Amino acid sequence: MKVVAMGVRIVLGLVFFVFGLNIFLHFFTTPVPAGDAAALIGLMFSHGWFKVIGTLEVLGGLLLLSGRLVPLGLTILGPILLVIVLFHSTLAPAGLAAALFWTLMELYLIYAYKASFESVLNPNAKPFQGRPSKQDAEKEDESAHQESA
Amino acid sequence: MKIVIAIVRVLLGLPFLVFGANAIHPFLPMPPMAGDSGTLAAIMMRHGWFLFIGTLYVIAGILLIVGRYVPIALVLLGPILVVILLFHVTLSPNELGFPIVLTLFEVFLIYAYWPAFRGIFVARLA
Repeated sequence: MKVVAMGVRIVLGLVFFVFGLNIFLHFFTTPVPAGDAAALIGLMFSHGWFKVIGTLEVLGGLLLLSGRLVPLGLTILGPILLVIVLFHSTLAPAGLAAALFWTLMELYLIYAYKASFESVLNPNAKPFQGRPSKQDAEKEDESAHQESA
Repeated sequence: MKIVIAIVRVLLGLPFLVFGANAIHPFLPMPPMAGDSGTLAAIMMRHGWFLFIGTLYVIAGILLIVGRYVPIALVLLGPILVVILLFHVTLSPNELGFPIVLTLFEVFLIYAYWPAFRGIFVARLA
């Protein structure tokens, strides 16, 4: 299981690293879509949106490849994948299969790292009270003690 | 502090609930957009993107107003606000004020609910 998670992490990281870098370096050409897909891509390109997206893709890809801050990498790539799937399902269905495949990889990794996301999914999450850092630090100390004991 | 957090929560939730409902079923008079921003909005409208985005707005807005699953609402709105900022910075810089205020609310709430997000920022996992 650990090996599978590592393999998926590296494949997904590599895909975003390469495609993100390609936005800046153009080492391979991507198929040109037609119609509204082309119009949308053209608008995004001419206003520099791809530079922002490319930077985020490279960053998310690097985090996944390096194995450090993987949950942050997944958090960055999640919404990007959502829009990629939205784009392909409404405007360019040819690339939908690949997009769904990458999305499955992302979902699998979220599952594999679910311990990191548990607190985000807590229905009754409360803001910190009073001075947060001190209270939380104390709480962390307690749990650290419990773990070591 | 608790009251401030609750007020900011509702102040961020309410606009997203209203504008989300408006994206699904238009009832607010929206100024027509000129140039590239109009073209982009028209493409998104034609292919149902606004229905999708509007649904996410409404879900996040309700969660923020009700005060349950607040971190999920903030995770939903984070990337949406990034794109709203990107849209206004590049395509309609005259209307940048309101998005910046909403983004400040979002950042403040992420700070206020930081205990829920700490797990995402653990560098090396066992």
